[in-house]
Amino acid sequence: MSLPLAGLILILIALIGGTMAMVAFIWAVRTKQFKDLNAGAYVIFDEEEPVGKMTDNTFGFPESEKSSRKGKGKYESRP
Amino acid sequence: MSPDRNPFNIEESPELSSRVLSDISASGPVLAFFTSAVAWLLVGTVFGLIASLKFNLPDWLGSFPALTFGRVRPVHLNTIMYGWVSLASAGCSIWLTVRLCRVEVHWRNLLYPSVFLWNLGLLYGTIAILIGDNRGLEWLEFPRGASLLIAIAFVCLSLSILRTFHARQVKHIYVSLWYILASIVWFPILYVIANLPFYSGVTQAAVNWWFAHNAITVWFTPIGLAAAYYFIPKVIGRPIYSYYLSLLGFWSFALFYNWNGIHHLVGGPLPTWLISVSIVASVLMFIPVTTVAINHHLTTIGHFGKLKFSPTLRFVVFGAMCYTAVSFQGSIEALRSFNEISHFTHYTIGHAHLGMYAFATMILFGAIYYIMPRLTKWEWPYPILIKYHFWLVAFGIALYVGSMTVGGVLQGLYMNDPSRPFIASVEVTKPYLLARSGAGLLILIGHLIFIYLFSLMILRRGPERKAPPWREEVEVVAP
Repeated sequence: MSLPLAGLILILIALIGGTMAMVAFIWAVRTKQFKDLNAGAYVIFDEEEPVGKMTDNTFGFPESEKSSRKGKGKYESRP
Repeated sequence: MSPDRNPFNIEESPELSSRVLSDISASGPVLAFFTSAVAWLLVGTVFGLIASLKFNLPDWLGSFPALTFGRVRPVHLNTIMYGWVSLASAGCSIWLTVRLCRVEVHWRNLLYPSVFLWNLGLLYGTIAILIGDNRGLEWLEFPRGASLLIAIAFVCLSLSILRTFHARQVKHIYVSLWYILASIVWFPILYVIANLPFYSGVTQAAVNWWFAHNAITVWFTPIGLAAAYYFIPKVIGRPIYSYYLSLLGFWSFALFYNWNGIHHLVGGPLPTWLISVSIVASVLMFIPVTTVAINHHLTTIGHFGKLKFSPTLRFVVFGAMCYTAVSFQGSIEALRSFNEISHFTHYTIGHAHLGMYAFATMILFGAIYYIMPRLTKWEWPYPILIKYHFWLVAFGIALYVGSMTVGGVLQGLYMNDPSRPFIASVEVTKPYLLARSGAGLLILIGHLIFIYLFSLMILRRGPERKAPPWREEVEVVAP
């Protein structure tokens, strides 16, 4: 059986896809995405939510947090 | 900054307002995606439970053609995959993109039609399956019309996310963003190729499983991992253990994972080399999975106490652990020697649920618990119900996967034993199938609790709770 149309199209698409991934990778290297990897890990933090601050405490605040937070540990209902 | 773009009257502080305003700009579309997702979650869970009960009560509902097993089961699969998981992942990826790019949503007007078309496609597809219009290909049961609607909806989503990415204010592309970009570019292409009308015979089977596995590869898994890579460090307040490894993980993931699909056809009438290549790629998945496992585990280690305070962390860490488990399991399952036992048994069903539920769904729950208060400016009421939700579904899925794994291995061993009649391999699974229905019931109750909490969040009802994190931010700048 000769290569059917489907096979040809799939190979073509695989080549296009592979090229796209390669172009993305080369672009990333060129634009220095991999230059300073340690700094990259910190982009999810900012001044209001710095490293060391827990940002979800729906079940109540952790004991270890700043003392000013104590007393707010349990949620109360507002009247 | 114009006042209409700043409805909460927050003073201009570039760091703060970018994050809060990103959340505000995303809230409409993300809430629309999440609400539809939760609705489809209910539909999918109910159909899943019906399908499971039919193993215990074979005659139950058998007199209604629409509710026979051959229709109920694909409805369960499709509403969960293209409904719940896809819609929730879409909402999650929009939110993560605006956060990581520190901009507002761009081309927002594409997102509402996207939700609408997506729901329309799902509704059309579900009704079509129920009345018997099924294409007979697993994961591609929907008629082409329904698939087309979903594909258009997905392209709208992709365009909006790409435009948002293009306008980014952050130079560095965080690892989560890499995963999201890869998936939103790849999935529409994949979906369209898989739905093209010119395959037949063995080619059709190969394309079918290439697609089904790649739907996990390029859509469900990347979004789950993107969420885990964002929420674990963000909630704990500590950067991920090794950023270098995370990027190595992403690129090796992109290289190996898309070859995996054909391992579903081990033993099938395909060229041996095609299956062998797929098995090799499946085993190579150990590399990206190990990097992810190291990163997630070593970021969390020393902070397990924080699971007590954060529902998001509980769900996401649970999901991340299950990702490691399901991926290693999958690599082993692809081996021919193991496949001899596990193929065509309930073991595979257990594996599928470990992936789509214990990994993907649990992470999406975690993401929704984090994102919702920041969109509706309302903290989750009744924390105790969140705990019930977590323990019900965590125990439910553990029971599910455990019973299917043991039952599946026994079933496989019995089927391979020529001295036993075939019916023995069916009889032996009975107690495990009963356990599965019990697990399904626990999961359904957990989902009902979640849906109740979610509706309270949307309506901003229930007791108002003090000092959730988003409120503090607003209080600081807007007295």
